[in-house]
Amino acid sequence: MISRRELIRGTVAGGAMFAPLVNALAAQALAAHEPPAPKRFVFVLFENGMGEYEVQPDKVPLGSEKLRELPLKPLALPTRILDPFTPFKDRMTILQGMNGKHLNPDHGAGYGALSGVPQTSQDKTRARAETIDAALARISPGIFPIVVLGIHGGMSTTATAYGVSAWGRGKPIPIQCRPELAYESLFGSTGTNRNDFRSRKNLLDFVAGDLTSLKSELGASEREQLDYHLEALESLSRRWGQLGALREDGKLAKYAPKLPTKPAQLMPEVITAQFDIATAALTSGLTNSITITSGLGTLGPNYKGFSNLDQHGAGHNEPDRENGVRGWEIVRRAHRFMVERTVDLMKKLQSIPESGKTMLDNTLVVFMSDSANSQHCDGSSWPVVLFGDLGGRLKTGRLLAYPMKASKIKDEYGEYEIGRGFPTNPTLNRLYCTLLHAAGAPRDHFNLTVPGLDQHGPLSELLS
Amino acid sequence: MPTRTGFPCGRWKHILGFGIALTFWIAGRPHAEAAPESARGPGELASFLKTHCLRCHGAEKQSGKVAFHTFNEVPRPGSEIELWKRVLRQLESGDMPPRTALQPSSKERKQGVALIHAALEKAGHPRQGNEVDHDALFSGNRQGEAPALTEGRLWRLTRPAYESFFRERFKWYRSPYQVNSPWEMVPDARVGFTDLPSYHRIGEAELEAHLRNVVPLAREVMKNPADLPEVQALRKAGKSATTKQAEDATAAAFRKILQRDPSPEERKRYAGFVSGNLQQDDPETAAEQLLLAVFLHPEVFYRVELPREQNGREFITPHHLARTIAYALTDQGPDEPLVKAVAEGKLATRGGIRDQVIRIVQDPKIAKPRVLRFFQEYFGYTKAPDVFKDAPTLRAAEVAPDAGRDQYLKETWAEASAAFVRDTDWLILEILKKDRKVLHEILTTRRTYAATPAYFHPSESALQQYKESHRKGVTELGFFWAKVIPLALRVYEIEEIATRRDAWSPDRSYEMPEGHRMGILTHPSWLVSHSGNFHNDPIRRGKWIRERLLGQKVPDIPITVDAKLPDEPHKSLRERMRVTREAYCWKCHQHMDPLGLPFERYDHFGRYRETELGKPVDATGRLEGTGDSNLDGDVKDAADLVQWLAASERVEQVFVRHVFRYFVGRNETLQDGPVLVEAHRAYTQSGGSMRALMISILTSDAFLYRGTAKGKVQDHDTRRSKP
Repeated sequence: MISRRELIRGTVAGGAMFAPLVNALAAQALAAHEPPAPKRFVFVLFENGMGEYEVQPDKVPLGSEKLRELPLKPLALPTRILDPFTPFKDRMTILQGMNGKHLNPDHGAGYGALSGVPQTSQDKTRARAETIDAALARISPGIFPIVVLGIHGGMSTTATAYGVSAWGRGKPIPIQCRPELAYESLFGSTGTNRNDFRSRKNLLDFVAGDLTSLKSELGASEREQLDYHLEALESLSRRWGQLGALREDGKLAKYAPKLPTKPAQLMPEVITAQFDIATAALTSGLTNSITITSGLGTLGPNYKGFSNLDQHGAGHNEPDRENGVRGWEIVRRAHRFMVERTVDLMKKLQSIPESGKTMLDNTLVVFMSDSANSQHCDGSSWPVVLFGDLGGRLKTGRLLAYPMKASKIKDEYGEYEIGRGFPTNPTLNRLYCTLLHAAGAPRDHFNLTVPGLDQHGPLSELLS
Repeated sequence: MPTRTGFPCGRWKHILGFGIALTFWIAGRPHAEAAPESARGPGELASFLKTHCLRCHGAEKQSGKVAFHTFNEVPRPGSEIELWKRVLRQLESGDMPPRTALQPSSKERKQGVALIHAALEKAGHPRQGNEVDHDALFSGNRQGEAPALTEGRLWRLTRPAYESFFRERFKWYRSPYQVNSPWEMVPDARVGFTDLPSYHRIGEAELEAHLRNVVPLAREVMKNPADLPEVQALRKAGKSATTKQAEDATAAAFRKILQRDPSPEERKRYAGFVSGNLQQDDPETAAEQLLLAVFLHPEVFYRVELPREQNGREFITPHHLARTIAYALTDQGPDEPLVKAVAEGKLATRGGIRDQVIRIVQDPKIAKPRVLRFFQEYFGYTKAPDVFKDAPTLRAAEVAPDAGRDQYLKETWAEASAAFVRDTDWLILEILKKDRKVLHEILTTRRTYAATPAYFHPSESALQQYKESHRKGVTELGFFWAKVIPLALRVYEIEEIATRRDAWSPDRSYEMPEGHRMGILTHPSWLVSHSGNFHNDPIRRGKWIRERLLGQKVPDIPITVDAKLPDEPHKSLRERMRVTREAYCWKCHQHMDPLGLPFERYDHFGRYRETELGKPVDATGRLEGTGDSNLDGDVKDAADLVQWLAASERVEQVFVRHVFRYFVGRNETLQDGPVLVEAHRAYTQSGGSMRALMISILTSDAFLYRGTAKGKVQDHDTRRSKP
């Protein structure tokens, strides 16, 4: 019998391609004998906002006093950034007018974008609650419960950052910003035969003893701090034990993507490398949850590779004289590049059979900015694009537009409609409740109990 | 000290009237008008909740799924504590009871807040920081009572301290200079300090990054046959290594990396680990694992602050106390005299500890970057370069009319905003060097350094070196040869330099025009750091003064508030801020706006101005509800405001509270009153000496003692194995 791993290995590692018939037979066999495929979650977040006009299908006015549900099939996706998603329109849901005002997303909402915790601008960099990507990751853990990859535009020295994902209050999840280091964490050192994972596991098991001996001497909150350190040691040790076994079997080397010989420096190079790593991590089963973030919850230094403009200035539509365009065009190019790499990832998942379907069928992709609809925004209208139905639990192929007031803005490239959602519109927290319901871990509240905000329960219009 | 007695009586009436009408609770003085402790109790709290809360949050109705009828007299740990804290916040902010419901009187609201605080304190959640009643803290009533207990704790090294840890011990190797700290130092928004023990944790990412730092170092050390001969001998012996060889190698690795001998238990445990590895792995890997194990020891990550004896309060163990003292002031581990003092048992007595603290504090040759960092974080003036001003805004305001392209304009501004910060750094160092009336001087001086270059990291010794080298004829080329006067100098309006370029020297301070500036709060570095992208930020400035100088607390903006000013480009910011005067907003804004608006004397680039939009600037403001009756009253502008603040004893005491928080590493509680009273006394009696203040705090019980409920710590110094 062909194991699922063997089947995947052939496709992911660039080995022999299976004929469609063989694929189908193998998939059927797997479906009959293997446990249900894991659910996968991919969050793609980016800086400087995603305007309503960038996601609103052509010829559909933005303003409306009522909730509108329109099928996407007859509509054309806007060409500014989103049209590369056209082949996936049937899996797609465009959400307009979600309320995220309580998240204060001006210049990026930091942790708030995914946690939904009401915050002031000073709270954005503090992990104050579980974020939705972490909550979903708990449902379907892999060897790595979650992998968060970052793109720190123009800063090739940033190895680790924080500011987007968290397991809970005070438990931020690090963002790995360097592809080669993320690669090493996932697939081990390149160019060596030593099984570092194994020896490091022994090492960590040993040094945990030094910490444990301190525990009884500490106060309660300090013990919590120590426990966090100990948990990290245990978790790393466990993971490295598993990775050590995989490395000995030679499996890691086969799944590992090929990194460029020169470390990625420019923003497009880093984006590409991080998406490659994400794809390999998902297809190899090392993780089922990936979050990719450019801007890291706020704004990165610049758009090196797209432009020498800084990300802030670009969001202000400052002129880029070298490229002869203005800042919003640079932002558009960067975001479109993120769209294209997301499409590549989805296509790869779609090419891999799993439980009678494809890996993409078991994957939910959430595509959004952590800065709502623009750099300077109040969060009253937060466009989100979803792909996937989580095993038929979510309705797809539709535009779901909550009531909005529309107004027009203009630049050299045209006139656009921007929106302001009604204060009574559902909060992003309700969307997150919905995702948890659909993923099989229902919650009726997600980090929000504030009178006056629409926060309770899943969105019935989204659930099937 | 000036008083307000010179004001007409009508004004006093006004102040009194306002005081009575003050309907908002400020955490700095919760006890002042609350019911006496003895008169309060659980029954009173129940009665308060019944009157104002239970109708919507009781047995019959649970609005927002919140109910209080099941509340315990002392809240239970976990969600109940969190819920109580939420109730407290809502009550403090005035958001609850809702506007449509029966409102408690001001006094009742304060009593309710005090009662909930009391209940939380019983549950082990005392008031902290600005929540603690300032007057009670400095009343002197707690003399003779048991001081607050600083519990045994781990305090993660600062980023520079982590990096220098490896460079100090392995200075002849290459790898330590490629070490990058696995963590950033992000300031906590509530306190503003980046480095308090409770903030920072070591997680998976930090461990992985740490390993990336130490693996190359361990391998480099192993390749050097001259270093760590005991470890080399172990490697050569391989599987046939004796227990003694393994123990000797352990001891050598400990001494090299941790600057101490292992305890007998550690010696045995580590030797067992390396012996086991020698049997399983090749000798190189086993020896490398030994070094890595020591590199992963908690002391590499943390200041380990544990008491010497079990139970009660005890000094931190000498080895760890030496590290605690060193890392409190510097980014380095203990220096030689400190290590010697540990070896000679001098850190076991208060006198010996005091000698060492005084030595380090007084010695100008010992760089003490944490002291400057305190001022940077306390005043928050280093953010100026991060406050983005876009090119159109810079151009419209004619910030640098001679700058051509947008990119050059932005770079000119970026350099100026960075220079503002450097100049303030150097100014503070100069004031610290004189060490007289330090806070008053920082708050009132008109002096500034001017466009200091970036290549010297600011420190007292660097300043000295810099001055010496400058006098020897090392000329500064930047400005002297530049075509235009640097923007920072133009913002400062230093007449001396404007008329004679050769008068400029980066190693001295200059006076800014009289009437235009008054201390750090009117320096461009602070003004820009507390400005927005497009305008001033009087609200943030006022909040800063209310919290950092007056020691009070302003609640966060309620999330239901759409905090936007009207877009009216032809009106001044003060005029646009009329919206904050609506009754609901004014409850909070009355504590911020009147303190922030006097800084409208400056634009958001930090430039002094007389007019705004063609009209004279209205820079008036008001000090109100400060807790210091001498202070309350109208102010005519920022300079006037700052003068009153600088003369206030309360402001001085609040400064002392912040110094305490920074160096002791936690918020103060009421039990810390005697330590703070003593620290303030040391400061005032020494004529405002920062050194005296630091010595007082660093030799206080709060800093030196740790307590735990049980358990005994191994004292590495007393358990050192005999040869």
